[in-house]
Parts: sequence; C-alpha cells; structure tokens
Amino acid sequence: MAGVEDPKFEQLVRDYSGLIRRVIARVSGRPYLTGQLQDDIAQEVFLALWKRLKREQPIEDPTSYIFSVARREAIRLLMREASRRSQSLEDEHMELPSPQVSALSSLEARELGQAVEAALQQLPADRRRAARAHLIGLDAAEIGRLTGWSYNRVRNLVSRGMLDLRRILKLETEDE
Amino acid sequence: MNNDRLASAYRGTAPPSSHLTETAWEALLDGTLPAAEREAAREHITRCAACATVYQGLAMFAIESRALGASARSGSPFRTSLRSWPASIAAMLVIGAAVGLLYRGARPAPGDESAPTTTAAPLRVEPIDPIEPLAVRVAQNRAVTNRGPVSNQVFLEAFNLAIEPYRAGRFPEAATSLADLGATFPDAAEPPLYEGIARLLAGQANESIAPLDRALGLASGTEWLPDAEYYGARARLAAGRDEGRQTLVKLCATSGPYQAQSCRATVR
Repeated sequence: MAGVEDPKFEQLVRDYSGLIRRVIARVSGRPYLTGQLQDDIAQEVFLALWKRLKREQPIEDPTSYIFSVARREAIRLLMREASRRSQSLEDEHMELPSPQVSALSSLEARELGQAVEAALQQLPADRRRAARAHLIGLDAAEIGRLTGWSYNRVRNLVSRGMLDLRRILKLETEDE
Repeated sequence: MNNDRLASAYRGTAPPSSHLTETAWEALLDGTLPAAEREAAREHITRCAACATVYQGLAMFAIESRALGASARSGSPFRTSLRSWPASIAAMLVIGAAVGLLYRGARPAPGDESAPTTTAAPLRVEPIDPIEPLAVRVAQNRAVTNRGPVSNQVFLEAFNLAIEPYRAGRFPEAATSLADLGATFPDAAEPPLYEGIARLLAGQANESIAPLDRALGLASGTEWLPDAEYYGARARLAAGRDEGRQTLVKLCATSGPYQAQSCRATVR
C-alpha cells in the first residue's frame, strides 16, 4: 500500500509538480475554472500519474499527457458544475418565488424570449450565429475561437446582428 | 430595453434537452469532430447556456492544446479510464499530499522545475510565433472624415503617404517616414505604433521599444491599447528583456484580440 513516504511518489511530485502547477495556472484566468475546480483537476492529474507509475508505464511526453488529463478532467468537472448550476437555478425558481417576479413578468420574459428567437430567424446566417453567441454570454474572443472568425469580424457581426435584432423587435437603439 | 434584458430573455427560453457529450467536447477541442457534427456543436453552444459555460471554461485549454501540440486522440494509450477510483485511503492521502505540496509552492529538486528529472522527458520547446505586421488602419474617429474635424483629413493624407513603405514591406524606410509623421502629429497614436512595429520587423528590436512605449502612452483608453501592449511586449522579448513575457502572460489570460498569439508566444 502506498504511503506519503513512498520514494517513487516523492520522485513523481518532484518531477511533475512544477509542470502541473504551470498547466493549471495557465487556465486560471478563465471564468468557472477557479478555486475548488482547479484543486479537483490537480487531484485527478496526480491520480492519473500515480496509476501510471504503479503500472510502471513510462510517460513519453509529460507535457501532452498532463495537458490531456487536465483537459479531460476539466470537461467532466465543468459539465458537472454547469448541470448543478442549472438544476439549482430551476430549484430556486420552483421553491422560492420572488414576490417581485410576478407571473405576468415571467410571462413577459417568456414572450420576449420567443420574440427574440423569432427575430433571430430573420437574420443572415453569420449575423444570427454571432448574435446568438453574444446573447448566450460568449465574449468576442470566445466567439472567434468557436467560429474561426477574426476578432474584428466577430465585433462587426455582433454589432450588426444586435442592431438588426433591435430593429426587427422595433426597439430603440439609443439605450444600447 | 437594453441588450442585457434581451440576453436574459434569450437564455431563459427553452434550453436544448440534450448536451454535448464528453467525447464530443474532446473532439471539438482537438479539431477532430467531423464537419457536420462540428457545425451542430457550434450551433448548440450558441443556444445552450450550460454548454456555453462549459465552453468558456475550456476555451483556454483549446488554445493551450494547440500551442503545446498536446493530443488526446481516441486511440491514445493514455486514455485509460480514471473513473475507477482506488479504494485505498492511502492513495487518497498521497494525492492530497501532492496537491498540498503543489499549492504550497513545493519546488522540485534543485535545478529546474520545468525540467523533470528521471522519469520525465524534457519539456517540449515550441518556436515563438513570428511577429506579423499589424494591418494598416486608422482610429475609427479619424476614418469618419465627413463628420470629424478638418485636421483628420490632413492627418489621413499624411498618414497614407508615410505608411506606404510599411504596406510594401520596406520597414526601415517606413520607420523613418513614420517617425517624421509622429513629429508632426505628436498626439496621434498611429505614427509611433507603426514606427515601432516597422523597427521591430526590420530587426531593430531595441530601437522599437521607445516608439512603442510612446504609442502605449497615447493609446490609453483607445482602441490602440491592445496593439501597443502586444507589440511592446514582443519588442521587449525580442530585445532580450523578460518583462515582455510578463505582459504576454497577462494578455494570454485576458480576452482580447491578442489572446491566442500571446499564449502561443509565451509557451516555453
């Protein structure tokens, strides 16, 4: 049974702690990937390394290996976190209705959402995708990575898409 | 009604009932998802708040994977499932201790933490991205000449002449003409910015720092700020000054037009 004094494990920490720390620090600037999630990823990476060590399997390219393990665990943890968040939001709505949020305003919000969706259908394809991505909360750099568009093209498409949307919905543009 | 309310209403509409799978996420980030599925995945992310959140958290991993050349192919021998956690409490203690060491800043054996010792191969060193010339443009308020002050037109004409060697790739000549332009229009960010870039591209890294610093000072609060920061950092790095790397690391961690380049440029 392994223990913390295991020389192989101490060697493993010496070999990889700097690399793991750097890999995780590299992604620390992103939202939703902070604090406990980083700790969890680090744990999973060490666990994977430990298992390989126990099987005496060499790691030919530690950078790629650690990165792929870290990414895989990030996917799992982020999916779990997103699911937990959306479930807890649904529960809040069900159990603790705010007195300010009347049935009427819920209905209005739903109708507005449907109107936005209908308006989006009228946009040209690229503007529609840019506007959708913007509305869902992605920033310009993230939209660029998702679509392969340049930063300036993203800004242009989002700007025009949102203007079109407001025009179709007959909303004033001054308050943007 | 502002755009935030529109966004809130959009996110509140019926979300898709299914989500991208773990395998689909990996393939999407690797660029191995077939074209039709990739399009469907992209479309899904723009409609599903939960998946958009996952994507935001993974975006940096996508950049880093490309930069590091990391692979997570489906046939990889590394794809051993990690789901089956060992029951051994000792193993958990080991992992906990490792994370503790990690976050206490434990250092590996004397020498270099970036150079693993016995079992690990040396880190892969990727070439830094070549420096690309910044596309020629002027500040948006200058481009609207029919509404701007008359001096905008004067500046635009002078700028067009001075930038011509830059457009043609004659960077030493461009550096001189843009330095002259900067003396005539000392409040404009464009001349020192393009002069600095021209010097950088002409192999005059040390000489490029001063104009780029001047551009940075003039760019505060303007659209030129990311350009001045990025090229200023690249100039310092090219001149062997390590503070340039710190700026690139900061840009790498910040959403903006130079995020991807900065990440690639900081990979050792």
